[in-house]
Amino acid sequence: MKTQKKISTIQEDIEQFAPTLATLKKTNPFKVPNNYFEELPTIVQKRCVELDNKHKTSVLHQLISVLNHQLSIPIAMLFILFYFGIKNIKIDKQNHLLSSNDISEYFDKEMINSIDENVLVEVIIESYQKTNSNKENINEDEIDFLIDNNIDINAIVNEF
Amino acid sequence: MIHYSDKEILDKFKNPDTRSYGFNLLTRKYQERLYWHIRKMVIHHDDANDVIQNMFIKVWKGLDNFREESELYTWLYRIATNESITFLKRKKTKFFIPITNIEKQLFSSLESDNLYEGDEIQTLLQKAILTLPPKQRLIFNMKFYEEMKYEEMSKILNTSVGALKASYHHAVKKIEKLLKDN
Repeated sequence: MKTQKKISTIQEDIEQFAPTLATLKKTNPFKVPNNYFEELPTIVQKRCVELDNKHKTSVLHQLISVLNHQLSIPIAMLFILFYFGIKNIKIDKQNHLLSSNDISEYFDKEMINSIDENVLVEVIIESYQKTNSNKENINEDEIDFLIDNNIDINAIVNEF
Repeated sequence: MIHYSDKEILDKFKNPDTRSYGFNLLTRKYQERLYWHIRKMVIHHDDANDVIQNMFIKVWKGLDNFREESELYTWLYRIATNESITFLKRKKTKFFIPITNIEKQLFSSLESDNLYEGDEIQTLLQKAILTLPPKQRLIFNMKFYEEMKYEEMSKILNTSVGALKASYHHAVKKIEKLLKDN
């Protein structure tokens, strides 16, 4: 009763706006091959099963299934250890690769204060004697040190 | 044949032991309605056969994720609709043909199709329907032939009831004019 009422309402709509269309029967002019709907479910099922089997045997799926199994956590941990291990080795190498400038800077900053000035004077005299040259060859830093400490270079040179 | 409810079919599908049987039941229950919906859009049986098979394969892959927020038939219908539209778009891009000319191609081959048995008036009506844009054609078929409620169509096509009514009204007027002119 409800369906009949629904159909009559739709029909009334069409009769109002499209009287020519309203006179036409709603027949289906298309047809299907014999036994099409009997066979379709089987054909579809076969394709779905083939798809599933194909999916299971693919290499990627195998890899994913291995990762999804119990080995996944140990493999992940090994990967993490390997990654951070490589990273640390690189850092250590960097720490050992110090340039000569780094070394001289280090000595300049850290060691200069602990050097005995007498030792420094002896070194200067030795280097002066080796080169057998005049005062101009003496390093500026050395001169500054001597000046700061009120040491007369000429006196040292004359003495030795 | 025993008729199972959608819930029974889904329960059988979700059970690994009865998955294939559940899917078979679903296919048998809905195949005809879905086939004719697709056929009216793509016209030729071979194309409709391809589309419906692809559609059921998508259902097989996606049914586990079906959230049952909508009716099962609404969900299936939506997939069938999208597959039909995608098929027509692909046909257009494959042959670099504008979408309107696809429809011209379809009705020029209609009468020569051995799986078409419409009389002169029916052929005229089918050709008139083919002049509609794809979405309007969809709405017309769903309302005129399948006598669906606008609310149901709204869920399937994700379009408001008002827009659907307007679209159907325009479709009917266009077809009426073409029938009168011929």
